[in-house]
Amino acid sequence: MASDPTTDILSPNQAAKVLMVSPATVRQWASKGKLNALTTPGGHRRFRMSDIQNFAQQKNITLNIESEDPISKYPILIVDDDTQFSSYLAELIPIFDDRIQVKVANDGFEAGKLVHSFKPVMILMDLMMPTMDGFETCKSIKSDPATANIRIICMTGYGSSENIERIKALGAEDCLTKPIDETQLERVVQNIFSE
Amino acid sequence: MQKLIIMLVDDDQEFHAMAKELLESREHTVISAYDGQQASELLSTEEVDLLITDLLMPHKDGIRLITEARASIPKLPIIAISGGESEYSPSFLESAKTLGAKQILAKPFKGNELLDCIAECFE
Repeated sequence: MASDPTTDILSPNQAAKVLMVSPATVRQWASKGKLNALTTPGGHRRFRMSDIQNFAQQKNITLNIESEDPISKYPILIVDDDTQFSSYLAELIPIFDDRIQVKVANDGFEAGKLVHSFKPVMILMDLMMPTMDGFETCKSIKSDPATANIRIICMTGYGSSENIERIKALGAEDCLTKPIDETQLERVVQNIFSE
Repeated sequence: MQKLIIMLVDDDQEFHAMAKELLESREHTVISAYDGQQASELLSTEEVDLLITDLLMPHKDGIRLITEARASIPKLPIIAISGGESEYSPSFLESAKTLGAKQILAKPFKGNELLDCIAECFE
């Protein structure tokens, strides 16, 4: 698994596979405070890869991160310069499906690098970002044959019909309005992965 | 032209410094912010006559800043500026206008164009 310790958020099942133990053991470690865990708004546990790596180092555990991640069938890249909002999405989205793995890029350039290494199936992207905005990022991804198949969903605080039409013309499938409706987002994610 | 207290919001340091110098040369007082979040915080404590804001900025973009400013200080005139390398800046400027920016200005622009925009805000 190609991991970026700063952006990987894993479910208990994914953490268990990386640590080569059962999910029950991971939950027990978390309950006892041995392994740092995040709690999603819905009360589910999530684990930062950096916490898992620190824990493994302390316990002298070898991590199963050599091969391509067999559990991440649904890699999703979140692209938003609002770090608070992207962290919220990084915790929310894996709740929709245990097989989802998320990574976060904070601008279009970072996204451009991650689309090649992380190979997301779907990108959830803010339209208004410094350095490289959502329009340019979408155009760049869709114009590269290696990344053109990535499904792109945009997000914006103000979705004028003109801007929504423009981003769709560049290849995005939908444009969600912030604040994000969690039910709508789940429906969009499930629709993409059920195809 | 009256002397104004102007909040200038732009994450581009070079542009920010140039615009600040221009405005101060006309004896306006400039309060600087370098992203939308910082500007929001300053707007809650500082009394300003005019907000000049870029649109594509980290932490909080200009569209959100304009929306919030319009809600909290409805009479505050706003000039939205955007540009640089993105060919889509006009789209963002159109949105800013719709949301209540009194004037919009595409970068790059000349100093006189900014000063004219300011004057038009107070006609």
